[in-house]
Amino acid sequence: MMPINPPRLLTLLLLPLSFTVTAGEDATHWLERMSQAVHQLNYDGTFVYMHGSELETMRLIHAVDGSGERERLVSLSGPSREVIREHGQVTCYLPQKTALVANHPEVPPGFPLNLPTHWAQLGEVYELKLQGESRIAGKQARHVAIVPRDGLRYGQNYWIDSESGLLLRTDIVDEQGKVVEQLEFTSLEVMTKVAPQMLQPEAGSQAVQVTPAEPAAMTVSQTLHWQVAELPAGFELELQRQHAMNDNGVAVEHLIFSDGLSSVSVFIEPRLGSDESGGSSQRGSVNAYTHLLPEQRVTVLGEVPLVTVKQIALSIAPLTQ
Amino acid sequence: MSNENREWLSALVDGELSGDELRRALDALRDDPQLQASWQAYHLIRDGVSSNLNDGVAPQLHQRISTALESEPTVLAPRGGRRSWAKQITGLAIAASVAGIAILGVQRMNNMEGGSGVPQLAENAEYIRMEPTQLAEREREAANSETLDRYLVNHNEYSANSGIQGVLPYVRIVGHKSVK
Repeated sequence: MMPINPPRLLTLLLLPLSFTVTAGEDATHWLERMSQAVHQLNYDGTFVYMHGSELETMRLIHAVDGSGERERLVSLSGPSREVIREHGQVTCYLPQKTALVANHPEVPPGFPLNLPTHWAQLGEVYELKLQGESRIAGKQARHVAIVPRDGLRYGQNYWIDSESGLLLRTDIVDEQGKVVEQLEFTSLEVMTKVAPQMLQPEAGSQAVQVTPAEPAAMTVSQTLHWQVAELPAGFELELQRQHAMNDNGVAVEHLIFSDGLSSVSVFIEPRLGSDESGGSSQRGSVNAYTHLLPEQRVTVLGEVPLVTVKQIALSIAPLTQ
Repeated sequence: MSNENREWLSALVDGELSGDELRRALDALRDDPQLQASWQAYHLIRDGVSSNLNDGVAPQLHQRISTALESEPTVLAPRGGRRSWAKQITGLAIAASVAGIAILGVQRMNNMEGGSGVPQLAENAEYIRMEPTQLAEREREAANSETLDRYLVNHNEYSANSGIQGVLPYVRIVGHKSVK
């Protein structure tokens, strides 16, 4: 029998392990690497964002140093708009006064690419598959497919730069296999350092600070007043809050359910009149379903199939004590 | 009709209102028959003019109005059963965006009363007619769509760990207003 020397033994021992990694966990590995890379690298890229029938071209500049992350998102098509996040402060720069800027109690953690960090947990409701390679924005990309195990959520695809780990392309695929939303970089440059002037807004625009909401305007509820009888598998209550979203100050109850990848919001507010109507609405890949209870109007909204928002809307009821 | 009403009605016709202004305008419009009549008048006038004037003519609009006013001062005078209309229309002077259109419109309608433009009027009248039910429906649609917008913004803002569903919430927020 041939003697086995120590390095060879090591190789043999590692072989089954690495095999497992390749077959099952490589997809997760690539996704996790991507989630880190978008925050940890300096880059300047241009991407096209397609949602519904709309197409937008934007430039994204991301810088990171000892003081933290700084980002600048600039619209290259349509009216000139910019969003700059610097040391936790988000400011929108708009050509003129535009009202639609939401208050937020804290800066979103994943600005502007809001990617999950716990990919491995998705396994219950999604299958993560490492697919082939392709070329995007002149770079070699690894393709990871995220396939739902039921028809109650959309699938997703990610193409990840083999070299830097950055996101090059991603899309959302509906239950019929149609791409409903897509983001693709047409150019992306990874840099060692970002010049400070690249993070400055263009002159002549009006700054609108995204300020934290007043404590009175938003309260995170402690007790749940509602129950969803037919919540799809994998979805869990992520956040519950009350928010005076209207000018009339009427508190809207907002529940967010997430399966780790897809999120669904439930909004409950008092009915205003008898002439309100329920039913479904759609914008791009976002489906909404409004259901009228005797006292409240329940609207469920999210980037999930219509059947999912409808199922949740129709099965929500006040929690009986 | 107050000056304020004229201003926002004009702005509404021109599609310049949004958000709360739009909601308030639609609320007022629903409750006030006089405003509804004005709304119809504005549209009738606008359609009449836009179908009659090509791009080459439009830039000289003000010039033409001045000339018309000088040569036909009676244009703005109330006529018989049209009294209330004429009153509203002359009152439009404050609403700059439709003022010129309104005056030309009166002139044209007066002509049409003479006979030649009657079939056209019938067509236009059908086109612009807005029954109260349609109006209520549009109002409701606008209100619904605004509510959904607000929900969507909040959804994007607060679903922190939502993967591509949360891709660029700021693109959506910032990009939203580009869609008219």
